[in-house]
Amino acid sequence: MSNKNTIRKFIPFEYTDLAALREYFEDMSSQGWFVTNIRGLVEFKKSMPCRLRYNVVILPTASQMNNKIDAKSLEYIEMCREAGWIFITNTSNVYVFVAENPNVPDIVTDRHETVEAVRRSGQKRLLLLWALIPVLALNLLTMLSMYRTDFSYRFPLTMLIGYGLIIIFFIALIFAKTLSFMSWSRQAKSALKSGKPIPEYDVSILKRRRLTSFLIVGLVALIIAAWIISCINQRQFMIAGIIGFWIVMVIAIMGLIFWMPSQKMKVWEIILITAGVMIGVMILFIVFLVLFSSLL
Amino acid sequence: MPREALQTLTEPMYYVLLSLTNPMCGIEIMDSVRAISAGRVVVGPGTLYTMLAKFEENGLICPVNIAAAAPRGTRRKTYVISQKGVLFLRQEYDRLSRQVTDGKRIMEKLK
Repeated sequence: MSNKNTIRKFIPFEYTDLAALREYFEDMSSQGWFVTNIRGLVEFKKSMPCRLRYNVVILPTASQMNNKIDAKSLEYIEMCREAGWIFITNTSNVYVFVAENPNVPDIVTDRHETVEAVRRSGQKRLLLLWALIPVLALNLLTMLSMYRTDFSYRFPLTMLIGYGLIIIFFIALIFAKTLSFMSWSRQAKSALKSGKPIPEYDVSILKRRRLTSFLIVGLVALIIAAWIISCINQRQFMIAGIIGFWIVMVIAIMGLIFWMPSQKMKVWEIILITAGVMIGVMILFIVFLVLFSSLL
Repeated sequence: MPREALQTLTEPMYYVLLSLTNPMCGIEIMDSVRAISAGRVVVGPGTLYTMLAKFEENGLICPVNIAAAAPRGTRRKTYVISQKGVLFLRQEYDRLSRQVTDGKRIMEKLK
């Protein structure tokens, strides 16, 4: 996904990492790479190296659920432009601005406002994740009852264990995220009271987050792989494949729903891409099922 | 979301309201705050945006004829302090003055 003038990097970040992100963009600009897009993979374009100032801020008026830049956000962007900050890109309510003049004041000069914005947005994101817990738990319980009850088709134990592990893993992940966020909030509150600097992560946090993300994906892939391999007969394998197919299909369509409105595409392009993705996923799964079921 | 009533003003808020005794847009307010405070108080555009929204919500400022004030093709908004804002600013001025007078009395004894 890269050529010599453009690079795209996977940089997962949380609301508490905005200072690290700013530092990272400034480092990259001094090496001649300028951030142009942070939706999905972070995109950098090559140009002459120069030192620029970046500010990554949470827009109080912007939505956390989509990338739409509404009228109020445009007013905010305009006010920043007049003060010397040029809007570059956004993802949900996280907006990136750049300034050539090293003397322009930061976009947000009120420490309370910075902490409050991070806390409010972070809490909303966590709330969404917590809303998933009952759904996941219910799902696990349903599978458990299907395993215990004598249905016409009985779930194999290996499938139940694999599925259970994934769900427990995600619940643990939500707990870990919540604890980490609560710890940051507590430190930030205490810093505000005592007049100390707000806790800011340095650029190394981005590397750690990336590593954690890869580990999570790797672990989930491992559980799924172990789960599929442990399915000893073809029928179970086909069922696992069909479930997997629908999971990937739903994720792909959800991704497209969030991604496409931000791309200002025409309707026929949206239909074409959706159909293409659906056919692509279907072909991949058929190939996958045929290949692996022939091995059994 | 419940409407958040302003009790007292922070230092940047006080200077912004002082500036808005004349109709001004965002960048003019930022420059004015810096000028009045002799560079001591600096308000960033994001903080100013949030502050203006809060003031407008509390009826302390009001937008001036937007279409006439904004240059074509821009979303620049001009604001001015309202009657309620003037009253609030005066109360704040009196409160701060009393603080200075009280402080002065004590501090002079310390000399």
